[in-house]
Amino acid sequence: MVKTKNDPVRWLKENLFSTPWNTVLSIVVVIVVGLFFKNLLEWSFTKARWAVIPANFRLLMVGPYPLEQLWRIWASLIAISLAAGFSWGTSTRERPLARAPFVLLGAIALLALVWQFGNPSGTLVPVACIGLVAGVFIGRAIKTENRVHYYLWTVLFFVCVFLIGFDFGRGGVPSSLWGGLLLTVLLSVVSIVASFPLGVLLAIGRRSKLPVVSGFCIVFIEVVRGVPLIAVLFMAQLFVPFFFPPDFPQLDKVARAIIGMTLFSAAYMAENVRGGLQNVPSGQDEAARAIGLSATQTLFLIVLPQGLRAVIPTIVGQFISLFKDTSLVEIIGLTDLVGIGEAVRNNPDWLGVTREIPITLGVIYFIFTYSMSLAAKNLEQRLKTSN
Amino acid sequence: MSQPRKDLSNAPKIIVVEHLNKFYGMFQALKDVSLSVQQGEVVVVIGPSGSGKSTFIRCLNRLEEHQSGRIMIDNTELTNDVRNIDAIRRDVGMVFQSFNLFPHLSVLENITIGQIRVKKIVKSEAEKMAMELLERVGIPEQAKKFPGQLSGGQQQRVAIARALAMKPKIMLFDEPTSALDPEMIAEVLEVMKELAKSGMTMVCVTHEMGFAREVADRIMFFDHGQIIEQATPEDFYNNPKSERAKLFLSQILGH
Repeated sequence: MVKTKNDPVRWLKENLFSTPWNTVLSIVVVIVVGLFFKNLLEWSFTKARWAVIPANFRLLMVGPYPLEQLWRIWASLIAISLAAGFSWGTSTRERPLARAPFVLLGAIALLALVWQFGNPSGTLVPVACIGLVAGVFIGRAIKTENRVHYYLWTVLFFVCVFLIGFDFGRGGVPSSLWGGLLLTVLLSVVSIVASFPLGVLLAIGRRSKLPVVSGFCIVFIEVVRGVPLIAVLFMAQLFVPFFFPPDFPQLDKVARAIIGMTLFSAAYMAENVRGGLQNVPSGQDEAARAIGLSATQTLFLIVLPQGLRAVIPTIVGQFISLFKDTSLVEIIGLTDLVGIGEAVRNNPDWLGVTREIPITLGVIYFIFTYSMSLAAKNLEQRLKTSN
Repeated sequence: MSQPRKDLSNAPKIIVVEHLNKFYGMFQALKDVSLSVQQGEVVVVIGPSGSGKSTFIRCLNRLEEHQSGRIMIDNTELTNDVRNIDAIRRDVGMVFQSFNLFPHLSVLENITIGQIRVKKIVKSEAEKMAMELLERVGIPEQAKKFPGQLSGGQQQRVAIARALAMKPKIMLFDEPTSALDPEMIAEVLEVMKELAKSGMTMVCVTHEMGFAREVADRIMFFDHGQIIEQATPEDFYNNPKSERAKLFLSQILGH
């Protein structure tokens, strides 16, 4: 019998049963893991009451967000789909079918999931999907420069935040009614977007030759890094009002939480970015200065782009952990995805339903964080090929 | 090997250095260095490692700060005044031992960034000039590539083009061939020779004797932060006056 590299028997022999010790280890692991999955499958097909998820789907997605205002979310989602399609269509102009299967799969999964999203407006799911596809075609058809996309996403970011809460005359949606996945995504996106530039500034400030600037940055970074996020969140609730005059309209809880998380994340970001900046050889700085670039131009055109590239994986790792850490806001009375999950679990209608919710939440979190790390991998690959 | 020398008798002095002193903490890297370079002159600086020759040429565009003495570049004095420093850096191009190309920018962008950002030249014009410079250094076909995809010799030629793109009056070379594989040294030296013959004022730290003999108007021998000897290449290589120069030459020629 000719043994090829792909021969499963040989593979097993080489990898799992190469020594007596390995054999014992393999058998034990197979038994333990097998038992776990057997029980899990048995439970999920016989005892589990998965009906709890569709029944509470809208809650999990948007929390107590009022039904008659859901159009705001839909409008944002459709706009995001359109823009995502547009950017995707542009970036894949040269290889139209690259990653098409992924997107198809994602679209189907999205469709299946979101179908349940509150019945009156569930019909808008296909609209969002059509938006995505339309965006792809527009992106293919129109030749655009990169910065068009930067502007588009910046504008879109503010439009969506505005759409979600702003009063158009028929009553806005106060932040106390934001919840579920909506709140989780909102908290993390705003904190990530705000903490990135702040962290870069802190990193630059820490390297400053002016003792006042570098001293302030060092103290800020070290103090914030020395305090747990929960404490920062509590402190943000209690101390943010100190920054405003007493008769000033107070910031709501969500804004305070965002401030706390932004400052927290910025301190870590600063240290990551500093590591990247230190990786850039001093010859780069000298060469830039020698052709006459100013100190500021050297920093922003030469040193920062190289320094940031070096730390993309660390930065994305930090964004991922920030995304997961938003679940701590439950402690200050906000009902994010985890908070809603707890509320559903405590609902007397669903007494005894325990495992279904955390499993679902885990899957949702995983979809988001894994997309983030895929995006980062993609970005790294793109920068590597252009380097 | 003797060549007809350029007539520099009427050329203005473009670099004037008077009583230059440079310290690193307690260590004195440059001791009372004085010299002048005329427009169009090619000066080759040699000396043992640690003799201060690199420090010296890095002082000429203020990559190193001097503590006392005067440096005048084209009648502008190098002081702490940032405007003077910026003005001088626009007029002085520099080529480094380790190339120091910007790895995140394409070859073309490496050459145009100075023109676009410092001289505010429109992109299309800057690119046209960059392509001419790439023709001049012999690698126009590499314009779209990134520095990491080029050989050392090609990278150094791009670095020369990058410096030339600012239309400098003076070019400084800090051991431009020391980091190159032997077979790539010639291609860089060819570009430098062509540049020297075109009338560029050059100050080169290099041990390439063939280059020095062919195009240098003057050799400056540095040791322990001082200029020990200045002479024409013929005089210096055939008939060094100081003991230290003799010793140094015997070491670099001895094998």
